[in-house]
Amino acid sequence: MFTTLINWLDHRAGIRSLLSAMLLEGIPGGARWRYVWGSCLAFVFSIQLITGIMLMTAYSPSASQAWNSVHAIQYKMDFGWLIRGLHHFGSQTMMVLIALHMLQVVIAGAHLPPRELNWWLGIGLLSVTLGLSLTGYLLPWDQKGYWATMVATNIAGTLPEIGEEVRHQAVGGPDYGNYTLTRFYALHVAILPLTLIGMLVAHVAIFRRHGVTSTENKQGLVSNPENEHAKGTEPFWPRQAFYDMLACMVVFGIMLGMVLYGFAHKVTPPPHEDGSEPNLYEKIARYGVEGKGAELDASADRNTANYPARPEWYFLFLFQLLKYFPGDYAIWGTVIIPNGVMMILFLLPLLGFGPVRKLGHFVGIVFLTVLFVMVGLLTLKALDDDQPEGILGGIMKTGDEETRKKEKEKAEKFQHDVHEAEIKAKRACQLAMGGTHVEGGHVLLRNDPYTTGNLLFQGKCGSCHNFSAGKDDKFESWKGGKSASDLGDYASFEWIHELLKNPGKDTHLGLVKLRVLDDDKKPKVDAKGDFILAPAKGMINWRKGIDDAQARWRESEDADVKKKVAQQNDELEVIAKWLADQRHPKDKRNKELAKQGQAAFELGRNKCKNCHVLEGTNGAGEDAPDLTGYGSTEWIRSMIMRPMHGSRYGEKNNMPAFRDQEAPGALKEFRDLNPTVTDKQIQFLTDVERELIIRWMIRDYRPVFGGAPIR
Amino acid sequence: MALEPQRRSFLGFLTFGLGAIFSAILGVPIVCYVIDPRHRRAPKSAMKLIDGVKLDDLRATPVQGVIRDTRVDGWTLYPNDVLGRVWVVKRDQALPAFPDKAAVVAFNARPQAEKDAFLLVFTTICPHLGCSVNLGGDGFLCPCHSARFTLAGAQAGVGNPARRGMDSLEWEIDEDDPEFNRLEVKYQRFEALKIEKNAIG
Repeated sequence: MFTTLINWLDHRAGIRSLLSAMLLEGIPGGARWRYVWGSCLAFVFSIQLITGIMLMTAYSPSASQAWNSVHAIQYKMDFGWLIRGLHHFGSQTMMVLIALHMLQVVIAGAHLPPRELNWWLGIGLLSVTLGLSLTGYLLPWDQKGYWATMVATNIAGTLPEIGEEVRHQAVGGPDYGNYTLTRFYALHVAILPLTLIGMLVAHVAIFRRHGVTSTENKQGLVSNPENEHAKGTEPFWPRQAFYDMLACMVVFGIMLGMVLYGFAHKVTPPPHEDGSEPNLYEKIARYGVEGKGAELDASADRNTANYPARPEWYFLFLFQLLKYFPGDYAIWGTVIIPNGVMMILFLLPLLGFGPVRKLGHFVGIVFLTVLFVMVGLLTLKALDDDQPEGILGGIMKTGDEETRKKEKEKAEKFQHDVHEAEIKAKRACQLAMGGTHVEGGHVLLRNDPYTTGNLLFQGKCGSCHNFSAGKDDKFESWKGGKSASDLGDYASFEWIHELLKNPGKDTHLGLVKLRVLDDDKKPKVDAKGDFILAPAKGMINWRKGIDDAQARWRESEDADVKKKVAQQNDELEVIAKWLADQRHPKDKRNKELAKQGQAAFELGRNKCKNCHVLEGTNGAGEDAPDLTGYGSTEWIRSMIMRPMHGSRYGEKNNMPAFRDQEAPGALKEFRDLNPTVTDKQIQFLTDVERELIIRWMIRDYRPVFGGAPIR
Repeated sequence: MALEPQRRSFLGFLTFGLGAIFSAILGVPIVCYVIDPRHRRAPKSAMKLIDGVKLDDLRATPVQGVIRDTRVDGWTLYPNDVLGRVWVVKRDQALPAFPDKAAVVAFNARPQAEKDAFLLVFTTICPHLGCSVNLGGDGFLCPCHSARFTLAGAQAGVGNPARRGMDSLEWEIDEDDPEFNRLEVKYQRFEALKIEKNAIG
């Protein structure tokens, strides 16, 4: 049956002769391991084609959706991590294989006549492959690809005269965006691969015409039928085929190893709706969540202050080269030297004519060796420059003390930025697990309390307030605050208890200054018109009173009076616990605690109600904040937007009000309601920014979208 | 052919073997990847509010309402998107009055067939091939292949391309609406061109 089918096919299509033409090519001098590189390249390219087509089935080339779709491939689709990973590392493997292939060709003298045309085709293939790498790097539309490709297209802009137009055409307009992606996409998936396939067919056909370059076949006359009978000629099948196959498998094994080692960020997938555990298939099919496959950086965001952009490692030498040609000389690094080298490579075979052939072969080997050593050194130096202590024990660090110090600082700053970018990337990948925003992946991060809220706190609150990280926090403590309380764990039991025990500590009220009021309860001003400030003494004096009373009780002979010390300390602990419970919605508060806390709050000797009020208690005070809902988002929101309100610090307050003044009439209304407020006391903060800061403070890390969280 | 091939050789088998292993390592994941849409099912249907329809405003002419909810489209999450549209048809029998929530709960507990004597809710999707059905003639008319339906949703006319009547949906009175003036519907889509009404997803 099978034989019949084969016979039928052979009769119609001549597959037998096709197959033997493919497999029974004569190899003068016999099979060799060193002939495998070309086959390996073709093999990896076919993997790129297959995985590339697979990626196309789930990729969306638009500035708002590209990152989202790649995130879905990496983390949500079955084996998307594997296919994307192979494609990613496949491109890097091709770079290495091209270098090895070129080196082998030049060492064998296979670039010399009569094979010079094939060498030129090879250089063309190299250029197209570089083009594929460059265009592919942008497609995920992540920070890495975005900023690195931005640099690359700007380099194209340094070409004299036509530069700007070239850049404009490559980018598809004045600026990066949808057209950049669609144009790069078309280049990457159609124009360049088709060109490459066409050139590859010609490359292989010409190679078959001349055959391998062995001592038996210097002149490349394998197509001459007499040559096939030459001594030592061996057919391609089976020995060379096996060598090629084994080499391809080793290459594939290395690629697979890279993918399985994993360079992606780990994320936690949302649990199954029915609460079941993922089965073994699911675990393997979604291995991307364990960080397997290629890295995906945070979604590209134009609103990025300091992204540490670097090109992919195989372009690092060009990046490094540019450093040595500052200012007006940049064109040497961007255009003249790289293209000069390509030109020399192009001209190398011309040294193979006539009597100079031997010398030309030698020059070719020397040139390529020197070129690779230079590229290697530049790449290492680029890596070295980014490490504060350098690589290889710092042997590449040069210059005097002063330069070294400066270089080290630069590298430290770079590493810091890399670290920050990695935190953001991991966070972005995690946030997108719950679905990505229609405007683009970057919107999630912009509205993320964990990263953006943290930065906003540092920028908007951080000049006065500190924020000590808790033991479970993965971010660093903020220590830039100079004149207000430490808001790490703000309104937690520990924080409040410490406030009651030791209010004068710098983390609580020690740094706080309030305005001094005159007899009419209006803030006093000095001769220059500035408000007179004084340390916030209220709680500190209260604690002094408590300490004095406790000292008296301790000295008492009466055992019942002595006991009061311990009793009061217990009461203060209960009050702290009860106040820490006020942040929760009313129906979620502990009812037993409420009774005990309220009793202790109202007890005369604890003197809370002399100054404070709290809804539902018998508190009469007016001089201190209203503790109703203390520590809740509502309480904090009101403190941020209107700290001078009577229910907060009133006229004594010196903290500015942070609010959105852009809405029509907002500023006027606020001024009308708070006539004593000064210009300095009104700071701009959008509603979303405010909610981000609040959520970050209370460690509720759901993204903010106009106030309402989605998932 | 000058060179005689070695037809069967150990190296040949080894080469094929390696090729087979490689094909499996790459092929199996690719197949799983390609059929990944099997994980993407229509979300579970729950009662959802019909936007833009109030019971008080219903007249003899059917009206269209919109079903809104969170919608997931592949990788994108739309927090508030239109899932689809429905026709609400008032029938001859008038709805009872709802003095309190208990009356609504009791009414909602009735079997759907009994409730359908008061009102009918249809998806606007034609059961023929999925176009959006409009009002036309004495009832509904699909603009694509002229499928006709009566106001009660049954096939009308001779040579009707539709193989079943319009797809009615389960509905109830919104218990959370203080005026008991709104409808909720279990929005679903159904397979086209079948005689039976099979829900998708």
